Amino acid sequence: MSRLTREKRILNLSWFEARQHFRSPRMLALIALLTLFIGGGSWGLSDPHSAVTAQLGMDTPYEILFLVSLFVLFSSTLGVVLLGFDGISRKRLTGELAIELAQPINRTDLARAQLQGLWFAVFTPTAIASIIGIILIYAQMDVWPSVGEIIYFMIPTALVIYWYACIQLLASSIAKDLGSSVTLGVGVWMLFTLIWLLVTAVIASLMGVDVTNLESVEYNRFSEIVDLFSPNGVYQLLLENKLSEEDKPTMGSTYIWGAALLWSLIPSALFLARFKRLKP
Amino acid sequence: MLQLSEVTFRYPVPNWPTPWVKRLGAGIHKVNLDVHSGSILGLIGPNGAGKTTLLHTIAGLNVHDSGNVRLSGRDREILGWANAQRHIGLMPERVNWSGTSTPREALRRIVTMRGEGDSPEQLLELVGMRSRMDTPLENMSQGMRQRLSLACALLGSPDILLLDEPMNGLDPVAQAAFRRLLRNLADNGVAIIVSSHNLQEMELFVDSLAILHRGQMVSYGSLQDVERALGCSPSLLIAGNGWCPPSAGSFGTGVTMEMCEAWQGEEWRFTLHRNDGWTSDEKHDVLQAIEGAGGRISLLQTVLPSLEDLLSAATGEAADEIGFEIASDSMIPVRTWEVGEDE
Repeated sequence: MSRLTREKRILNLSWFEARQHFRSPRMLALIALLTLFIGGGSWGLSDPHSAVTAQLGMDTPYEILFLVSLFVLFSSTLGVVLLGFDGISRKRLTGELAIELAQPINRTDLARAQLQGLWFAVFTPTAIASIIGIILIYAQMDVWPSVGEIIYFMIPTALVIYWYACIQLLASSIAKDLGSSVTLGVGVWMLFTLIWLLVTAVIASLMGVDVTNLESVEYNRFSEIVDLFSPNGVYQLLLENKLSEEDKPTMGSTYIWGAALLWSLIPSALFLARFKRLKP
Repeated sequence: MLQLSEVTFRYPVPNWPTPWVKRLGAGIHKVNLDVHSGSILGLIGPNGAGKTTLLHTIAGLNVHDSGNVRLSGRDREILGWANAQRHIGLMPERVNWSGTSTPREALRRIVTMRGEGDSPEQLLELVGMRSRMDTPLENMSQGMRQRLSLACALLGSPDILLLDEPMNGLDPVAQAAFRRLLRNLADNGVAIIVSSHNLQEMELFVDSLAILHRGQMVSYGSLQDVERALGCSPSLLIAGNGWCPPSAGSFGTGVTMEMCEAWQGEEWRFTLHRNDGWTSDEKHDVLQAIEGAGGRISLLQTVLPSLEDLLSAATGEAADEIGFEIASDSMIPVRTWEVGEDE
């Protein structure tokens, strides 16, 4: 089978997978989440009368987009959890996995189709919500972000959804029942989204960094390093990298993009390896 | 068509508190099988005997630890894993198809996976789902789900068909149609392995039988051969009124007789047993002997040995011990001797 035919088959299977997600009732919940968070966030933050406590400028559309990325992080990654927490475990429980694994198809291809399908199912509504958000920003500020800025915003967004898709499917392939699927899926999401700040502070204090002043240069430098170990952190660093000089991360772009590359490779390699050894 | 020689597969079990050190759990041990094209093999055994594991190992879902799996005379490793799977169709046990997609879409997806040009509609028609092609999967009955699983197994016209408890959830009419379909497939050269724990159901359509217990093949051959080898041939159940034979001696030598409780309208009921079973001539002689002496027969029925009887004979364990026991994850060999040999 030629490479092209193989890729076409994977794409077709991804589409089947994504279509199943699009038609699931969970997608309705995801759309509501994305509309409220990304749409509402864009509208509220671009309001000329609004003010945030963080020492961040809100003068340009890209700066608003950067702040909106916090809502993307919260809602889209939760969307991946919603759609993907039982991606493998449900099929294992229903017996569909045995049928799929018994087909004459390379397991790597099957795993890739699953991964791409989930990624596509979450990225599509996120991208649409982001575009709506950009229109709302224009409506409030009367300025469009540049095409380059929009593309730059979309690339890390696509990446962070992909990283979470890998993590969720990996967790789902480990889980043997629905309960452990939920625990693993939500647990990983909570760790990176809600608890990471605490993790950073604990590690910092253990390493002798002053944690009483979270605005200090020393702590910021340290938290940037710890953030490289979190998909959310890398996403934020990637987007921060395009802010003005004073708001940019202190570490070089090479480290950030290097971390992004590793986050793209390691979880997907782990998932593919796990899928190859999967038993129904 | 399909040959298994000394195939062993054991599930790895995490060994707490050192989960990275795996120990071997339940599985199948040194299984030998030879299934010819056009034949139907019944695989029977109690829960946890290893039927599903054996089918999954043949289907390539489990990589066997040792032994050989040969398809059409070629080793599966030489044939290539995915290529071998092209020759095999698997219908897993009780697939609980779920979601909003339809049987047509589900089958189309599997067709895409196989990269073949089968028509999902034709297959759905073959398994009697013409009117249900576009019903959401989540709204289907278990019987419909079983049919869809069968359609998946038939994709690509496989040479070997593996069916795991296929009759579960099917009504008697559908079961009869299912048996006819399997016979047709076998007549067209497909080698079929069907697993079940119901011997009576199997007897209706299989050509040979393999009994699996605690991961090991305890007996294998035609139903008559297995029964003969294990000394579990069918008995005759006879009931009636009038003259009742006083002892087994009325029916010749080598016959044992066991009286049972008579049902309403009967004066007597008993079973007759012979080690070699009963031919139609012998059944006729029994009938003549009773009626000639003035008895009136209201029931004459051949009773097959139960799975427990066969397992009990094959393993030497008491039937009541086998009945509810499930093999533990540390598989214990039940026997190392062959049927007919001395222990």
